[in-house]
Amino acid sequence: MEICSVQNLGKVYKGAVSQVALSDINLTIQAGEFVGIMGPSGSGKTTLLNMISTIDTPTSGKITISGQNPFTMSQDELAMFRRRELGFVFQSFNLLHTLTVKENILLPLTLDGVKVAEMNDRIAHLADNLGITPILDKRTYEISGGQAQRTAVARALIHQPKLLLADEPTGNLDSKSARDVMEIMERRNKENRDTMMLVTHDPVAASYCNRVVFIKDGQLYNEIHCGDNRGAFYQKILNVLSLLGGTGHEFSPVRP
Amino acid sequence: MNFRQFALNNVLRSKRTYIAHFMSSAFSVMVFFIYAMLAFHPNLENGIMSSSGTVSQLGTMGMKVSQVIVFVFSFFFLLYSVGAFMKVRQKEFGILLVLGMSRKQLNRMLFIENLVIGAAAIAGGIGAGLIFSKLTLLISASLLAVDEGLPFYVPGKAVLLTVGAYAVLFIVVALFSSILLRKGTLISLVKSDETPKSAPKASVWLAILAVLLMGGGYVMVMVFAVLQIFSLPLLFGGVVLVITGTYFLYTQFSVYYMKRLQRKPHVFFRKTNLLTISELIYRIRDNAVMFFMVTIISASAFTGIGTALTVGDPGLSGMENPYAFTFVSFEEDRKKGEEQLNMIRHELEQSGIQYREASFNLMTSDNGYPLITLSQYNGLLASMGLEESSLAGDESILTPGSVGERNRLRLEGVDTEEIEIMSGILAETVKVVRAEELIVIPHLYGNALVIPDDRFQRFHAAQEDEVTAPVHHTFYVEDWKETGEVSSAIAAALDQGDGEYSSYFTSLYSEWKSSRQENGVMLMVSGLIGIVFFTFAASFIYFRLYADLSRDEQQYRMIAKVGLSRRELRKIVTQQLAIMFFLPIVIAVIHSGVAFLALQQLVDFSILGHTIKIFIFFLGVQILFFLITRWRYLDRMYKTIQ
Repeated sequence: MEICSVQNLGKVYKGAVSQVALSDINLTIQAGEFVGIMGPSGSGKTTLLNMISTIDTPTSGKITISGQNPFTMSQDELAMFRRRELGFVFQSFNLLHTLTVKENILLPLTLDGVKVAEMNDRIAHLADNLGITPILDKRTYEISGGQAQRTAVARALIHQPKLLLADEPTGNLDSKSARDVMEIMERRNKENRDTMMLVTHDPVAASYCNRVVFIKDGQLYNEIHCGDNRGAFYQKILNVLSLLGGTGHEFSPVRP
Repeated sequence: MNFRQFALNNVLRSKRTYIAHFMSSAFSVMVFFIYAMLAFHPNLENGIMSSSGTVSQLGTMGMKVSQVIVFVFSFFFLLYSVGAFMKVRQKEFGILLVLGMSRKQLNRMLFIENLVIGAAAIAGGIGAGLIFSKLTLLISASLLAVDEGLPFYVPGKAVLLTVGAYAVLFIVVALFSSILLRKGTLISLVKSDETPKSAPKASVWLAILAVLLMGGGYVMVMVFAVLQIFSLPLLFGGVVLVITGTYFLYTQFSVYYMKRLQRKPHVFFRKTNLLTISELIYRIRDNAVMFFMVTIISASAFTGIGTALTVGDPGLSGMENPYAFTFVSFEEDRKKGEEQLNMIRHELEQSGIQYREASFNLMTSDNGYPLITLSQYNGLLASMGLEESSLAGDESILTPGSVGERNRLRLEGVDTEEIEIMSGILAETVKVVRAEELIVIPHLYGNALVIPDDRFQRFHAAQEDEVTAPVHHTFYVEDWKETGEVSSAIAAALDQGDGEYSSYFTSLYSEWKSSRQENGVMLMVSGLIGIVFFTFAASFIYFRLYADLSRDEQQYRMIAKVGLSRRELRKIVTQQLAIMFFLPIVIAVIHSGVAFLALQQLVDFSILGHTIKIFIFFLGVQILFFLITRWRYLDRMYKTIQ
């Protein structure tokens, strides 16, 4: 089943000098897929994610998410759509400091007016699954970066969205925490068949995906699939990155 | 957690964020409540207990006007501070919208938050007002010179009025708050903290214009006061020029000046100057409007309080009438007058007050000049302990009867050298040799002429129908402010007579008292309003700092990585905060200083004491605000750079 389909998408930033951020992008994400988007800085990968997230509007082309076009909706419909169909994980966590971990996770349900009993039911299960049960009553300044990002993942999953969108989720984390977060996302993808899309710089994070799409200068460049071996997939990602040309210095050198 | 709990938590868990907003709101509620409590006070409301009906009416009216002013300013203040919070929270709103909050829910959240703060502020303000109510009543009783005092009462009406008025106010502000929320795109909200700032610009011409406007305004106000050209457009024009000049001073001149500094390498590249100056340019540019408002508000507060203090000064009463007591008796009832005069002397001697007596009677010439003999005039001068005057046969002295007339004479000099005096068939000219510098004969319309005794007798004899003028007996007392008790004793003693209207007694003390009551009202009104304005002004600065806090943290964290010691950080922060806190106040002090200088031209006694008192008080409060803010701010920055 198709969860997200992007057709001939283009984005131009108008200004004194107009800048083409994306042109003619086509992409389809099937249910249960875990897709990574990679590319050098300024390639347009975050712009693409923002448009699929419905927080930015395309200048041409069309996006369909679970059969609906979010850009023809009214503001209220769009709010409902984000609340029920989409989940977000940001690089800087973006947790609300006035709320506890538990309240942060429950926020999407609160907005939707879900019954308290059902909230408690869902959070118990999810928190257990993500290993954050002990910190549920802590405030955001009392937890580590890795815990904060796991909280953010929980918040993005609590309402069982059709599509989870993550923007550099490991960008602010140390490698251990980054691995924890990626393993959780991978597990959720495998066990619960949650559909996910990830934008990242980090080849290690990308290697947890089923498929990685490369963008260069606003256009699709290449696409590779993960086989059975994650190590080999990681190697393939590094190869493509070095092929992306002239920007090899941006990435960590090839390790044996 | 339901939606209401969520909104509630937003406020309750970020107390520090809302503390200034809450305190200032509660403070304005408290002041409003105090005014209401006084306005509804049974003793003032009915106006029976206070000495004059006019004063109590004025008092009640003053309280009501103040309530309106405080209320209106509370509204603008709350809007501003809510606006400041909106700006800080843009990113948070962005996240909430991304998470699927609808605009309607966002508005509801803001509404609930504002109501929570509003309810707390109303409760806190009224509570504080009640706690201090006894003290407030005591102070007001002394300020309003209500001898019987204002007893404590349960201010039910005042509480109801305050709750009602501020409930409406907070609801309106809550409704406005959602309108204030920028209707920007979601992506601009989420990334609101990442967009770089544009470079400040300033025009040389507007910078020069700022100085010219302010200078021009000062000149106009001084012209008004020194040359005593009492035209309202002149004064008003001066004030408008100064206000406009101040606006450009902050938006243009300051930025221009800082950019000039930036171009001087030996200044700009010296130690922490690089950071301080480049930061300040942005800070001043971003806060120019806030600085402008704070300056104007503080300057009005200073000037208002200063004017009220001056008007209430005993010097003003003493300036218009030098005599502690004046007793006027009529020729027809000379015997009774004599008796009463003895009564007054007796009372004065009993109370042990040192006094010097004199008396005079004025004759009005047929063409309307009040005349007085030189010997009587010298008697008056001697009673005041001044040097006597002497006159040749055809000479005379012009002596002013009111402060206005005296000021006119002092400025313009004597306009006619010769005055023709007609009395019956007699018409002679007298030469005016000089005008008196002070008021010797009070409460007179226009001027009186002092002429030699023999001449006076001649005029008197020539008068067609013999009219005997009433005799004024004056009692000069050095410390007339201490004559309150004896005044009422004399008044009581004189009242025991048959009540026939044959004499007339005034005491400077009671004149002063009633003017003090009127001005007590003014002082309370302007003082409390001034303090409220000042608190708002300080809160504005706090909000601006708060709005920039996360940006500052980021900046100093970055600089700390390059290598910045705690001492250097403290120096930069102190310099910047000092400018934010004191620049507007210093400009306000200069503005009101000019106003006081102008005011000084209009009165005889020195108002320097009042001026210094006001400035010291407000500067002290501001220094306190500054120290507290600096302590909190540095604490936060130290933690950041660790």
